[in-house]
Amino acid sequence: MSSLTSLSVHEIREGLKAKKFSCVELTQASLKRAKDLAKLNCFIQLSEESALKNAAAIDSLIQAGKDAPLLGVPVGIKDVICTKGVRTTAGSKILENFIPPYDATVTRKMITAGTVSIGKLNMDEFAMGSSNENSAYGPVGNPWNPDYVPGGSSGGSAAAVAAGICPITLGTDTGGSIRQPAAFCGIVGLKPTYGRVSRYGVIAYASSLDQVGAFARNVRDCALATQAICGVDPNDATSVDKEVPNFEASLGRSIKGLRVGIPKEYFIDGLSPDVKRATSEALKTLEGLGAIPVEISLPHTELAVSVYYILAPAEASSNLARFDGIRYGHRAKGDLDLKELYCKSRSEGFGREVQRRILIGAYVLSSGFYDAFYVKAQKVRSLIVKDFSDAFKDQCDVIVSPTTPTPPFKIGEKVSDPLTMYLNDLFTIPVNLAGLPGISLPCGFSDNGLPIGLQLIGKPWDEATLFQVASAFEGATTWHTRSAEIN
Amino acid sequence: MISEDDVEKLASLSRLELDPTMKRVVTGQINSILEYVKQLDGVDTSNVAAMSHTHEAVNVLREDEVVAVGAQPDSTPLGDPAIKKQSMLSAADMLSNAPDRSGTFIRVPLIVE
Repeated sequence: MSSLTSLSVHEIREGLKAKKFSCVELTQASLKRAKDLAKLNCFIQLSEESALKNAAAIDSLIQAGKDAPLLGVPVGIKDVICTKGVRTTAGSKILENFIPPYDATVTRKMITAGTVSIGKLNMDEFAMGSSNENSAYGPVGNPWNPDYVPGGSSGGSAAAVAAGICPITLGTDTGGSIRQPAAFCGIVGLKPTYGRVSRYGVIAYASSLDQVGAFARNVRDCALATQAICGVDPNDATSVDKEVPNFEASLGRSIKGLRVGIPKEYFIDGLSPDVKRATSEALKTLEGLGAIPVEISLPHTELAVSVYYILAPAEASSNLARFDGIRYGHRAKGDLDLKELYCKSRSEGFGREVQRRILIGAYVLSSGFYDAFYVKAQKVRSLIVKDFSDAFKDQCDVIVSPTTPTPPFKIGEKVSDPLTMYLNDLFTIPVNLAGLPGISLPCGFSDNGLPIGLQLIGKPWDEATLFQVASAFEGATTWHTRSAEIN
Repeated sequence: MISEDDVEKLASLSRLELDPTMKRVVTGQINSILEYVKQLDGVDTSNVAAMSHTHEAVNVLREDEVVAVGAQPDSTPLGDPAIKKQSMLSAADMLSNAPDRSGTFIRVPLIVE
């Protein structure tokens, strides 16, 4: 990596202040690296011209003495997040030429914080997937070994950070789509509490589960990025008016006496030996730092995947009904009546996984099945939420688990059976169902050199404790200093 | 178990068109997923409330006031830090992605004879 692209956010801000380099130079370096690593296919599109123009404007602002929390930092934005005037596809053909006339709130917040977006990041179509193999724009390669998946659905976002293209990227997480790719790419990724971050302008997959979050190479950068995007938004009625603490203040604090819950249902037989080893070592590290391990039980864990694959497709079938070829997006050609127009536009525009989930969603919501599937799943969701709240009530302050049951797999290895793919999200899904904050941080490597992640799950609104524990763990380990040597 | 005919019906409701091969494959895949989620049948939820939102959802209201078509927030660096209420987009902005436009109308197939 050129030295400019290996800088942390802190180093970037110091360097810009000391005039060691300019924002234009930083942006050029990011763009160059993105182009040099085009084979990873992280970006659906690079916005070279506007990025350099914005970078020049930022250099003027810096010279004029202006400041902002992330001033001058090059970033990438997952292509499910609307960016005004910049094509936004959600990884789908149906939005191949869609140019949003407005910015998502998180896009605006990143602009206000002073970042320069260099482009839109590749992803599983409509955020449905765990490997980035469902993108209409091709798969993304894992920077540690491009024959392997980077995870999904925010595969491009994770790979871009792991490959040293940008220090920060934004992704979204509905069933694990930030945490799982963070684990697979050996970086930090945090999904905030549901309601912490505005979903306005974020193309919806499952409205009761989606949240925007940040990827970074270290905990501090992730905290800074998370800080920039949190906050209630009048344009998103599901965002909650809760004070956002200063996350940086949680870093470097002792975790002595903190009770770390270890859910027995997450340490199952199906866990790969590599993951088991790395997680056990991580737990020992936390104990060495003074944390107190507490065995807990989250008895309804094994039902989470079933609950998710009823509720999420149901919500998706409703959310994706708007893509009808009428007001925006792909419209089928030919002399078609209205119904034909809808059917052809949608069938031509949506990929197979998306169509599958829409059909499942329609089924579980249909009359005669609604109670047995959808309402039942909502009830079991309550039980899963209660498992967590019981544990947090008086047993532990934070919960620890592996992020994924296995290390990254090869591109093409799991595409034939959807169910096998779904089981990747076993440990991440419950966190979305319960609306809790969750972070993944690097904690080791598999025997064949691919990253493994440790997941921390927090109480509602308690991202601060997640950052505190993550920071302590990072301080006692060197996983975050390793980088994918890819050129 | 759902049949290919059931999937055909669902596809019609969802305004999707499946070719015969895809219909067969998808039917099989959906069945294995439905088989898997059957495990929820065995869970006692007789005294459990259905949950659609994890936190107490409060209805967020605002005044029903006419907002002028306004300039969009600045897209230049730093812009305006205050997240204001969304000002209205112009018709031109809102229709900018319409596949088939005629003035401020979107052209569509005949709906009513």
